[in-house]
Amino acid sequence: MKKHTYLWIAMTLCLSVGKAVAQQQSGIVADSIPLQTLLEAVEKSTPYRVYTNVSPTLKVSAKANSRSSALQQLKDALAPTPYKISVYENSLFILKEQELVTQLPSSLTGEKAADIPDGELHSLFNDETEKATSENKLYNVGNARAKNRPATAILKGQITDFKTGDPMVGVNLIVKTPWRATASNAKGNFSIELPTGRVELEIKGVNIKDSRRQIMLYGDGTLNIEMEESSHMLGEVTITSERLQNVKSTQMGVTSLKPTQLKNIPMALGEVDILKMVQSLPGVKTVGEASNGFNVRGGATDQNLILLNDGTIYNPNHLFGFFSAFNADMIKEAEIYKSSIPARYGGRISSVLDINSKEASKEKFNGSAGIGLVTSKLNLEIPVIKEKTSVLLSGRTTYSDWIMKALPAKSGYSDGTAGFYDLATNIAHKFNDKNNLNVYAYYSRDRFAFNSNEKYNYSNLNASAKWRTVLNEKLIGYFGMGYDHYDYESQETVVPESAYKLSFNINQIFAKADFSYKLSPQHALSFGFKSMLYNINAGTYEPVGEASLIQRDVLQKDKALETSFYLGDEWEITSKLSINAGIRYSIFNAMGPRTYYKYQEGMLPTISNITDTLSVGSGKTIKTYHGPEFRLSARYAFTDNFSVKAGFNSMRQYIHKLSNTVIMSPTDTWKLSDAHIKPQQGWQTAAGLYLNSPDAVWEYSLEGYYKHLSDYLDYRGGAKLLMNHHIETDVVNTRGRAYGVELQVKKQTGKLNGWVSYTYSRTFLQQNDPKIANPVNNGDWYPTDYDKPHDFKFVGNYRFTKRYSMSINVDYSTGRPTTVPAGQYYNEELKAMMVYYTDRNSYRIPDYFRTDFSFNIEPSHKLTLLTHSSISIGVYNLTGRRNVYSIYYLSERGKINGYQMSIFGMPIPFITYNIKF
Amino acid sequence: MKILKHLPCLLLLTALSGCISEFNANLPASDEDILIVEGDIVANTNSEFSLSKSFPLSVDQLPADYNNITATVVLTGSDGYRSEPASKVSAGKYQIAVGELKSDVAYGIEIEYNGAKYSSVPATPLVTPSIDNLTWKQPIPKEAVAIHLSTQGDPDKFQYYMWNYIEDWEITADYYTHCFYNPTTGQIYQERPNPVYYCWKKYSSQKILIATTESQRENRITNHPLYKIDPSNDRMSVLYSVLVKQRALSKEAYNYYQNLQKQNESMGGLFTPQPSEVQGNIRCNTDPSRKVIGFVGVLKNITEKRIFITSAEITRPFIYRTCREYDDDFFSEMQISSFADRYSAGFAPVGMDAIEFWTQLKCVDCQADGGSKKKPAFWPNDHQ
Repeated sequence: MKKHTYLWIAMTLCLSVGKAVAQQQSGIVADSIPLQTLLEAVEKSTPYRVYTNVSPTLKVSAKANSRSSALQQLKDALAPTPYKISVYENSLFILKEQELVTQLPSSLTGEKAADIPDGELHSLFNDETEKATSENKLYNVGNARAKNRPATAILKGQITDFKTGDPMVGVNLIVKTPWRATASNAKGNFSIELPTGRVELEIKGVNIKDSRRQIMLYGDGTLNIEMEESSHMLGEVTITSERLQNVKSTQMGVTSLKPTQLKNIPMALGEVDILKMVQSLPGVKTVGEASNGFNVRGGATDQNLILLNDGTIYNPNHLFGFFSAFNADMIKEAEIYKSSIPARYGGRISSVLDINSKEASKEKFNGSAGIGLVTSKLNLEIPVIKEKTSVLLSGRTTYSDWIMKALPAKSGYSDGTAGFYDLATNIAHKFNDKNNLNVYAYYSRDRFAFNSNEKYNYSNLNASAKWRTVLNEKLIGYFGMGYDHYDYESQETVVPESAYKLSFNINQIFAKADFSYKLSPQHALSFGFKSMLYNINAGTYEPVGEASLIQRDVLQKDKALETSFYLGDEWEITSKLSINAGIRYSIFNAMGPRTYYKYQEGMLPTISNITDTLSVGSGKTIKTYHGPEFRLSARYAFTDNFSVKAGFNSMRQYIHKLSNTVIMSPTDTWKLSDAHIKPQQGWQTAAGLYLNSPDAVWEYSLEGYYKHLSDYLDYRGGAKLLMNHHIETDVVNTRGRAYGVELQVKKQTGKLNGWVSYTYSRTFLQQNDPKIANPVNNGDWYPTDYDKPHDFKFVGNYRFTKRYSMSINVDYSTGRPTTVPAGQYYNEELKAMMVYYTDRNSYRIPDYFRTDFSFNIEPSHKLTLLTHSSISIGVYNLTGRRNVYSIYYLSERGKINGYQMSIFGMPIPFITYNIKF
Repeated sequence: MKILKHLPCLLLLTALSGCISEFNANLPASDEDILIVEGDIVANTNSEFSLSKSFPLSVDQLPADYNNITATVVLTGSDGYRSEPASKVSAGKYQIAVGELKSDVAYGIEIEYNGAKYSSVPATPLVTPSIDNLTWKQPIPKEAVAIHLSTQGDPDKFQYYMWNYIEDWEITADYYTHCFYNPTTGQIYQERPNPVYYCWKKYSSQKILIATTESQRENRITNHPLYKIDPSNDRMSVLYSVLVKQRALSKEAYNYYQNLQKQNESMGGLFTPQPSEVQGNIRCNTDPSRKVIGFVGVLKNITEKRIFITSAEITRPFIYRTCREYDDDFFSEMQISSFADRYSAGFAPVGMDAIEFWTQLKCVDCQADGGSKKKPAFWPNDHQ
């Protein structure tokens, strides 16, 4: 008997702590069996006698599981009910809403027993700060003694990680009847209006095991929920998210990514890379391997808004695109919106990639470090004031210039240098339950030199602060401000007489406010504004050294103020039909001081048709552009597992990248709209079908879209883009259109998980301006550089055991269009053949195919160990296919020779070692 | 951006493999023959205009009829001047005797070909300044010899230049001999002095060389690097000479040649802009959509300068010699004993009064090494 008592205590403990384990073992839920049946089973299998005043006909739900004892089953069955179990020697007492305090033999239970924070005891008091950890317990929220119980009440709280105390983001909370759902925000907070009374709250999300909490809701109140992440130790192998959102959310084309999900995906040189991950999603394409610039649904590379904690990142690349500029360890989550873009975002017409950095644990010191072939990194989470303040510090750097040193001296590059580093911090402070402040800073720098005469560097700097305040039960405000900076500089001193330095930088200051307002259970409003002041040094060209004859040349600064307001409503009309509608109004003022030309009306600006020179003073507006942007999406859920969505959105963009290269080049500069350069505009309409298998193992989605762009900048033949004082004479406006269908099948659970996607898409441009005398391809539509009709991707992970897993990536796409010579001719003077070009993008490079493989080992899974390490060994481009990056023709020794260039034309092995502490 | 053209090399080397390979595909052939016009209008010269047709990229050799063009070419001036039609000097080549060009008159050419009329955009003649300095430098011993040029025009205007150069250099055979084998008679005979010891080679630039003062503090070209010579090359073995011809360009012409240069000589970088159609200054008046390639400049003059470099002035790296001395033992081992056999196997005798040994033919006969006995008229030594 004593033995049983001990066991009993152990079980009580296990109920909360070992919840995840218990649930894993749980079998089928056999609903509603009479309590009597359970009581008999308990008496039969244990020495206990049961004493109760409960009607034996009361039906309870119990799990038919041979592995848990009858006693455990009784315990589980009663947990959601108001009945409590108390034990005294050989007797079990089951009483409503109270518990007998029984004394346990100390000889058996020792100190432990005395300290047991028996969950059941807690339920007697309505303790607001209690964290709800149990699935089977009934938590009381609100004032139970209030005379008039309201029909609905607001339940709010925070979802935190059981282990680290970190808030958990994007966790879905769902009540099935009547249908109510919400998700925790970036701080892990949630707020949901529910009917009072007994509710069962389903909790679902990425990286956590589906769970639920039983709540007795008497009135408005707080319930903080503690969840166990499905698993640092239980197998961190989930590859993707959108688990529930896929079917349920009103948004389309949204994917949220977490670095922890990516670590098993094989990557070039073994680095987990958020941008490379984005590129493996359907609808996202790149023109080549060495490029982090990406194209979303037929949009150009400058039409993606890349945000890091609200700051704009202009160059997300390290080492010319080999690595993304973000250390994966500091990223909590990244979301990419490629179709329905919420009204709170604006400024780019294709997509938004919103990256949020981690917030350090306020409870416990954590850290991680990684060693790869090229870089090493360190990430520290430091609690400063327990439960109040924490600091995240993250850094990454290249070891040395080994890449260059490894080159043979004969190559002429062995005295070159290359390197980069990035640093990030997130200081989080919690004033109280209602007010939080985060201060973010990020800096990345790249330098590159082939020899001491040719140098190049660039850097990103972002600093921002965000204050979140709960103004009242329904209204939450977010106030932020920040500074973004990007610069580059290149220097060439090969010939002393023409030694020069070229520099460019962007500075912007922004202030913003966002509010979310729970108008009613059906309406969740969001509104706010953002104001941003741009100051761009469009280019400075200056001599280097005494001997240089270079004339210092400085382009006029590009200044502007962009202000936007938005209002969005997530309207749940019925549990099946919901609409997400938004409007954004943006006003762009191009500002002086500036001197610019006026050109003859009705003609393309050229130097020869300048009619006047105008000057605008400092702070004066040169030109104002403004207009509304509409965002609309709707979802109709036929069942919990099947929904149809449709949407329309329009966007405006006031900043343009000046580049006539295919990919994002490090010397790309950016130009604001001005008197001559109109804002780019685009709209997209899309529709999709989403189906989950009933067991939620398989997810199917089919999305189609049509997109239109106007006033996208293209370049005239032989355009000069750098140091051009009147860029309008070298550009032309084009329009674009894109359409496609994306099909994806995902498997989220089980030993094998991952996704397969197929995309058919086309994207075209057209120089339709009648003022252009010789438009590209005679003014017909022509495919863009990234028009790759067929695209197939497979990302998969197979887990042999908790320790060993294997990942494979397969990527196939049609070769991209390229411009090839239309023919050749003989140059009599040079006695050489020369090529000439006519039509743009008339030919395609060979198809792209690549397979990557990696094997991941996690030597230890013991929770008690101080450190946890993992090793990833793999091969990038396993088949060694020489994927063609470009095709080009050169006139050499009087003859024309054709070449193809590939970047990773052979299998590239890698190994990385990561450690967590 | 010069810096960017190196990138692919780095990337390739990073991947530790040569990732550039030849590419040959049947590209979509353009169905039209495009008229190619070349040549400048230069005052007081017989200006030559070359007309030809474009041909598909798949054609390996110059097609026989590429310049089989019959056209009428006329020089026109904005003052109403019209020259006599140019005289055809050879296939596709038309010559006009250009007299003095007036500075305030815009000149151009008109071409009538295949029922269509073409004309170049008229322009006033440009004056080409003289080449102030043409120098060479070997900054690092045994490494490349660089040729630099300095010139200076109107200091108040941006200058645009284009250069061509013609190289002449003297080479010698490896061995000096008086003994020769005559394959017709089968006899060894003596000849003094050795007639095939000194030879000359010639080469003209195949690259577009242009520069501008646009981004410079002063409108002068100072020590502009034109090209480099590898000191182990036979150009540097005895005596070398180069004649650089300088032409002033208009800004439009400069842009045209710069685009040609990019599209023909510097494609293939990671960040190379996409090539696009290049517009010259010739238009088809009868059918504006008809394409035509070429840029006809108008010049008062062309200037030139010549320099010499002797092998003694530079340092050359160790040059591995392939010439060997072979004796009779070698030939008996090879079982080629007769002189006739030795000759047909590519060997030649070396000796002043009698055969001392045999060696490869190219080691005694500079003509067999690609040289020519045509000694340039200006050559400053008495080598024959």
